[in-house]
Amino acid sequence: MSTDSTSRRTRPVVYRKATERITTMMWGLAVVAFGLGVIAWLDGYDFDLQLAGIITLAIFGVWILGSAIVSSTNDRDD
Amino acid sequence: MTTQQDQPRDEAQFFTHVRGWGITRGENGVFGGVVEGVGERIGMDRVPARLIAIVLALITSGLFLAAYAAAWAILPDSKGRIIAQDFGRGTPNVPALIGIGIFGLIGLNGLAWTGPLGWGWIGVVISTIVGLAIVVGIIALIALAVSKDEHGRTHVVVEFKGADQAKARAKTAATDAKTAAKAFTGEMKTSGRRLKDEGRATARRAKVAADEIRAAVTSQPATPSTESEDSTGSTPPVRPAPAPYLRPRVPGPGRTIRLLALSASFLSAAFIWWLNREDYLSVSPVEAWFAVAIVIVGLAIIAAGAAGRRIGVFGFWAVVLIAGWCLRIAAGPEVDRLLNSHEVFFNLDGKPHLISVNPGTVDCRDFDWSLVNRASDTSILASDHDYRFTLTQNDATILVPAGASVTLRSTAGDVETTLSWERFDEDGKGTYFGTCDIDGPSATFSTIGENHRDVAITITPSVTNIVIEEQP
Repeated sequence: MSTDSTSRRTRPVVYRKATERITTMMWGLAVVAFGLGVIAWLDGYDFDLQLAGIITLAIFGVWILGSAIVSSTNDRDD
Repeated sequence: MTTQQDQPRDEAQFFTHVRGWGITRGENGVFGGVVEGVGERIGMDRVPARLIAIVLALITSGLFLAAYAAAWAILPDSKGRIIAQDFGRGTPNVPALIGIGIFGLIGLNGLAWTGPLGWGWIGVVISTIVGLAIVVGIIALIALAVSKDEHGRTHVVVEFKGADQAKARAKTAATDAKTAAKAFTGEMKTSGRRLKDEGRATARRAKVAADEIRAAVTSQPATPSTESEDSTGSTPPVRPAPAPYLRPRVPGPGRTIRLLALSASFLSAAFIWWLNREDYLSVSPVEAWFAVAIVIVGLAIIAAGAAGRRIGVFGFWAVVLIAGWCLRIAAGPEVDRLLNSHEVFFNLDGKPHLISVNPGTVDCRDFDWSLVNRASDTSILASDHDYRFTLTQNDATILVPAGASVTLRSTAGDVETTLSWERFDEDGKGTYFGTCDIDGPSATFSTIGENHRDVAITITPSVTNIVIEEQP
């Protein structure tokens, strides 16, 4: 009947590696931070959107820099 | 059998170069899978990549959309098909081309309208013309660049620089091989005769040995054998077919995480409803719940990530909620008026009147004070306040007529509220500038009796900051 469901059942299951887990958790943290920011905004806190944008870009930059360093280390180990 | 489709086709070096980037458009994309493909290339999940794309589309004034259209056109999909290349080969993907055109025009118009150019409608017209010209130019270039056949007619395929040298080397090698083959054939003819004689002698000896063995076997008694069929070789053993390769899959967030998130959603809804019922909430309870919901989704993503699972449906909800909140925040005061208006009561001739005011600022000057002044029963005015209302909005600014007095009351006993008023005096003496904390159910502040207008504000515990401005 459903080939897809059958193949899904028989396909082997693998879990993500440690680095991928950390990345996913970081995105979760970003979503949580956004939600907390919304709650603070509803409570009357005024955000400096330009400053928030600068901080966000800086965080992305540092994050990608860290990823590059980790990737470089892994390549060297291989 | 190898079909013509299986044969690799010649292509312009540009497309070969693009394929060399290693970026493949994803299969789950909404608009061509560009974001998914780029995300996979740099090791980013689909959902966060989409979030970043939405933010970039909002803040780059069309630049991102134009770049997206270009990427959609030239990046290959999972089967290696490039839309621009197929278009040049006469097999266009019409829906994709329409999407690319729409994205490109919106992007270019966005650049001209609100972007760095900022030319308004003139910019839109110019950018549309320029955009169409660019599209036509790109199509012409692609039509030239795509190879028509493998013999080079009308194609401008750039061949590898070392191709001629390789051809010459191959020709030399073929000649050498032919010479060597001739020499080998002569040698084989000579030694062949000798080998033939030796072979015949060997065959005779083998036949004699085989007859001896057969005779010995037939003289032995028959013994049962479990592998009789296999050993005879008449029926070869049936080997199971090799199992097909199945790509491993990463499991979704799982029932536990999904149920926990659902439970948190219900509990938070109940808690927020209770807060609203007790007047502890200064915003719409629906808004408050959606703000908490996004935190719940984020926590679920963290849990799924920690367990090494895909974020699954939580990724979808994260995108929807974040996009919704971005729109909500951008809409600002308009939505505030719809969700958070509150009621104002005032007395006139002993009868309560009700009006609605916008949150944030309560303009008591809108009240028709002349009606109060003309009220026949002055005792009502003396026993009550001219203007009273219930305030639920945090950080409210109250505009009162110059010289009015203000009374704060609480709906829930002691509350701590900061009142900022440039000119008030708790004892009715002198002039005071500053900020005052109020602890208690009621407090009255009066200006130096310049008029007898009186404003009463009943506040809920959620109100923590009130600014009063006196204006004529």
